[in-house]
Amino acid sequence: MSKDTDNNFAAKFKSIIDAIPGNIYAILVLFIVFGLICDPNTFLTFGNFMNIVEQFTILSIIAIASLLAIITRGIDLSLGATMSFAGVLVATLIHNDWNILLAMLLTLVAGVLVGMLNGVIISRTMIAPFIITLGTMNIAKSLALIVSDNRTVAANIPAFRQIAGGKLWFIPYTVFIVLIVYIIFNYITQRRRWGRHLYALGGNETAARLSGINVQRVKFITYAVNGGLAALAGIILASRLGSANPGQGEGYEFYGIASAVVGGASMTGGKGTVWRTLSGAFIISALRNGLNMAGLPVSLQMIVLGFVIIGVVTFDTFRGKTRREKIKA
Amino acid sequence: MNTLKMKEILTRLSRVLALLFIFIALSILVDNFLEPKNLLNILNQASLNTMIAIGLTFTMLVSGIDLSAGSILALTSVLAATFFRADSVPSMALGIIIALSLGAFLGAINGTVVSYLSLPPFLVTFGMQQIARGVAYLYMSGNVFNNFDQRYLFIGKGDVLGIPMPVIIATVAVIIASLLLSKTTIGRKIYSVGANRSAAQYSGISTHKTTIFAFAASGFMAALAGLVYISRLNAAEAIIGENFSQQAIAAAAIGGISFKGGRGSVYGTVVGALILASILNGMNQLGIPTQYQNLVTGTAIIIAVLLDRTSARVEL
Repeated sequence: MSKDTDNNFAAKFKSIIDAIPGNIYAILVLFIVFGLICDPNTFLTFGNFMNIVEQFTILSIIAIASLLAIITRGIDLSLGATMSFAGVLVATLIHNDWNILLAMLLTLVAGVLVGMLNGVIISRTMIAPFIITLGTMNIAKSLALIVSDNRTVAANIPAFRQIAGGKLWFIPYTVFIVLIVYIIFNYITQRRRWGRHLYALGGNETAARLSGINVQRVKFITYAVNGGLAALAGIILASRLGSANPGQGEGYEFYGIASAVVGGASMTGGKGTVWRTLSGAFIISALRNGLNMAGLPVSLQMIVLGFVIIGVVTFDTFRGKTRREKIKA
Repeated sequence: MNTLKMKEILTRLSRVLALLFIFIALSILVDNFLEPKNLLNILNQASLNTMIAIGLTFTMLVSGIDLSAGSILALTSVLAATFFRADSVPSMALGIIIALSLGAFLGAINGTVVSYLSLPPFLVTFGMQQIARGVAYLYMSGNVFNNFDQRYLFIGKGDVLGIPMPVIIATVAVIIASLLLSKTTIGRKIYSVGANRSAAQYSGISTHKTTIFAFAASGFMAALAGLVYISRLNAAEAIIGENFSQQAIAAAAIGGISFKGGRGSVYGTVVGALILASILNGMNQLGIPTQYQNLVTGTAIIIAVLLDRTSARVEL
């Protein structure tokens, strides 16, 4: 490149600036804006920060599932309903005096089964994941209603509530759960063959197939894993609330997708990383909390959120474009 | 060209056969299922979903999707409802015009953002879903408008020669939409943009205008369905129509509208809506608890798209 040292230094400095993910700035801006708007005793307090963290841990697990589907150029709309189903299932089992560990294990298995239903159909056919997961979403919704008999199920058992309520010093257990999940998935997606296949598949499915990747298996595992992750999120939410109702996971699939996209994933597949999705989930959680703390009515919160989602996607698309042009140039 | 035609015919036939099968099964299981009164009931129940699903068909044909239809329905109908109350100065024409044009306008915004910025329609219309619903909440602030002018109730509750008005409106909409898609240039453009966007662009079609038109049609149909819906309820509130988009997507998918765009017809969508409505009607009459409804809807969606695949495979 250029031999001019000044220029070199500037380039280096610029590369450092570029290396800091845009999301860090977004988080800073969010906190400054809400810190200024909200009553100082509400948003910028330790208690509220922990509140954001609690909401964020549940969303971040769904976000990883959304990301996996998006990387394969798919989508998983059944996550929220699977989450509701898992919540009422674990609560019902515990309510009927099951062993807590056994109840959770069975719930995870049930979640994986729902995911496997997605996986089987999506991997064996060329049908759009959107419509298959819309179907399983309806099925899971129904299962949640059937298991709970359309009522709220109490799961107010101290040992169970410890999962989301328990803290090590001041850090909730769920933070550790999320960290473990993210470390595992980062390792799998970045270092293991399955992860490379995942990206290859999302980038160009035909090329992936022709280069010998077992596309069907990768897709099947992706959606099966997603079911398990949704069940995990459902269990944590039930533990946090101490009860489960058949609709409490509704809408999470959208926030999960939004988190992944805010974290830089592209709906056209093959892009997005686990850690940036984590930051996306944090931004969405902080945004929702901040809007709430600013005292905005639900109506205005929805409007702002809608604009933010469209805005972020727009911004991301154009950033992607300019980067691509830079590379070309 | 021939194989494509075959595919269309097979898909359409498989749907009609499925509907026929459901009808035969239910007429055996349920007493009075085939009574004219019950059949009209099914048509009446299917009419709202049909209207919204026609709109979805337009967006899906240009390989889009519209998650905001339910929210647009809510927003346009609460605004229109302001003009329908018996105690205000009722100006029905004004209310209807405002609702329909606002619906088309919001849909056009969806289309503009999707097309000019080439953003994923899924996320754009999800954003619009939040925005439109939020504005509806803001406008109503928890109120319910009811007690509409008697004349207005006719379009949701009235009938002509025994045929409910919603059915008549839906039928007219189906005919206009299918003529639009099969006989006009804009219809041809919609199919070609959905089948291959860049090919359409190179052959001189304004893909932007076509996409915007398709999304505007979806907003318009949602608004139309909203006008019928609040008349049927004799009430309007911001919360209505929450899962209507999903129901409409289900109907379109069952009716064989491809998610990749460019394939399917309005008639398929109608059959899809009828399949859903008749199953739900039968379940109700059989006394199956409502908890199972989603289970059946979900299974129907999956079976329908699987059928699609087998029928597509036959001639390939």
